Amino acid sequence: MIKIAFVGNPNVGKTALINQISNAKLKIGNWPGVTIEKKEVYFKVEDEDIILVDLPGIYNLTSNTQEEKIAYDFLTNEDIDLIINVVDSTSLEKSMYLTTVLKKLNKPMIMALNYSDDFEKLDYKLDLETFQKELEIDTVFTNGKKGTGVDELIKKSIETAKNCKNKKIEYKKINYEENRKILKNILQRGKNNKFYLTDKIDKILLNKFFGGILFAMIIYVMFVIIFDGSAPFVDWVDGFFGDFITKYVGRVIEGVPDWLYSFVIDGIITGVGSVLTFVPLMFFIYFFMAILEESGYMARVAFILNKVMTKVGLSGKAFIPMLIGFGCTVPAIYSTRTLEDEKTRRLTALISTFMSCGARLPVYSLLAVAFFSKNAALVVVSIYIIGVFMALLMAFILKRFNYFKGNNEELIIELPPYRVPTFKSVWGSMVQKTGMYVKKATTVILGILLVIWFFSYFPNNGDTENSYLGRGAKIVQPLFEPTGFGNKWEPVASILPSIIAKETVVGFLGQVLITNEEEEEEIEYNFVEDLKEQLVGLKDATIDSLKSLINVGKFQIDTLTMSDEETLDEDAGGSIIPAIRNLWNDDLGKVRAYSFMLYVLLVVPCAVAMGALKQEFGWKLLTFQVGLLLILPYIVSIVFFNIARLFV
Amino acid sequence: MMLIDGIVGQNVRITNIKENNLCQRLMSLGICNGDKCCIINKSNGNIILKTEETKLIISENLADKVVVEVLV
Repeated sequence: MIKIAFVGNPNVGKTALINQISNAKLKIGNWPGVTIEKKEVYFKVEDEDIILVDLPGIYNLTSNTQEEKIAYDFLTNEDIDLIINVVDSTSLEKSMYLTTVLKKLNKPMIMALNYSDDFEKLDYKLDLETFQKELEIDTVFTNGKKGTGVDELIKKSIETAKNCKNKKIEYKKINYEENRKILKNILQRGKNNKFYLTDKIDKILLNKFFGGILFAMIIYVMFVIIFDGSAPFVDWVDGFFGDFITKYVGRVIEGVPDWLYSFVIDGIITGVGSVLTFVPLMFFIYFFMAILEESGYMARVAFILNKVMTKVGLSGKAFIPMLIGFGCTVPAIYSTRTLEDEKTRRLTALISTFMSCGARLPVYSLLAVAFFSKNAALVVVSIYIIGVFMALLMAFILKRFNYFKGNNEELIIELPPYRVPTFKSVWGSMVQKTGMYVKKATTVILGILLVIWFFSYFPNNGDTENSYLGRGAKIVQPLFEPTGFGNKWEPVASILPSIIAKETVVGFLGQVLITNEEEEEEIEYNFVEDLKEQLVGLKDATIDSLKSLINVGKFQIDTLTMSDEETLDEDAGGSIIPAIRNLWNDDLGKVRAYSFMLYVLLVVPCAVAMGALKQEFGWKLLTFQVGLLLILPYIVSIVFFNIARLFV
Repeated sequence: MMLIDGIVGQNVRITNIKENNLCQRLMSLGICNGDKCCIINKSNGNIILKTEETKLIISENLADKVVVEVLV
């Protein structure tokens, strides 16, 4: 067994190289801090068992950041056979510092000069033989994207690891200045500027006056495309479960006892179907997260927002975990490891939970579409903006307390060159993350929904209003009455399971609100025809999605919107959107729905996120956060509802 | 002069980094005393510095600890 550790500066392509060597699918990106914990990949080469360890990108081996601590602990305490020092071949001088630090560990080492394609493009010349001799390290040119040099790297690594086993390694040249001088003498840079294109793009995107506006526009357009592009597919999946799957599964289980029929149709299909309806939305949002992460724009956000963040006592770098929080709160909490100061980390992790994660998006989309028709996307964006505002407000308030007040206004962050995201990695990221959403929907969420179904079906055989759940929710309902959404027991009952996973709100509301009773009239069953109809529907959804992408500026969810004139009762069976619309059909319906969205936005994050918070910061912060996020959403919803109702 | 006083487009040479910790952080990013840099942006409370290999953001409070000389 050979254990190889991949070490290097952030963003030099360590993870991409490991993926290329072992066919693994570890997450990659183009900003410092993509890998925030060590990951191991096992594989075999010619009967040789190999473990590749992907360490977080570091600049040094001090304990300035959690990442450096993880790398240092691993490299000094673990029994490793070889270090592969991954270096951006176009930034060799910069990498000399870490290389020198690594040499002091006296462990067998090989250097991978990555981004060899860029090295050639920039017309750099390096006397490799002298370089290897002077630095006392075997070196291989590699390209993590295309796989060039990967075979040679792994072959040399195995050889070196075997040759150096149980041997004492001692490097002689361990002076940084000396190593840098050696490099200066043997590296010849071409005339092309490494940052030529990046500089041109930065001149626009980081412009003193327009940088902030462009950032807001990028986020705005991103949301427009997410909603407009995914809406036809969301609509189709909704119909697929509501009309097709329910119809035929219902036929297969026809004649079974009522409770079993309800268990399958209401408990499993409607519940999970309601969550899966939003798979296209997730697919779109993960697409944009991958583009943002891989293009190199993410690090620029720190620059653009530094001034705003400084005003609330944080540096621009703290906005990166917040931005990641739009996708999922869990990696957002872990990514605070890139921040040096512990108190800043605490505060950043805490406010990251205010960012609206992907799991909450289905809840907003559902309510926004049902109650705000043509303005649905704007309403959802407003919720996101309120999330950011609340996060900044909390930071502003909490930084006054010693527990959160750190030395956090200092910012040093490297700006990577812009890179065109590859289809392979963007697609891989989308599929992986959407796959996790589907997996979650069909495992954890299904489990929760089945428990909910049990309590909403019994003891009165489907009379949810008088079920255990209905009765229980009605006891606490008066407490939520002032929030506006608490006039109905269903949304109140959805809060508790949402603490395990936010998606359950949609699944739960689908379960209890959609009426799937067997209709009196004769249903025609023609499986082939119905399947054809679904496929035609999918084709139409694809065309509608493409049309809406062309027509980006329109900014509305066309296909999901229903005209205000549509009769609610007529639509109320089988599909979740009209069923939700029926929930609050009084004059204050919109206000109640928005109040509920605010509550969902601010209420405690899911159990996994809370676990991450506990793991990183302990019980104290978690207890504080849970307390805060139980009281705050309640107050915000009450204040909003009671002010907004005055204007209706 | 201090780096914070530099203007966009100016080429400078770093002559002294006043804080040891900052000196080490910059060194690990490939920037040492004697290195030439170009100030390419100055806004939002930060400065963007560029060397041949690195481009980095440094906040103004840190830029106030870096002594530079202007290169003509």
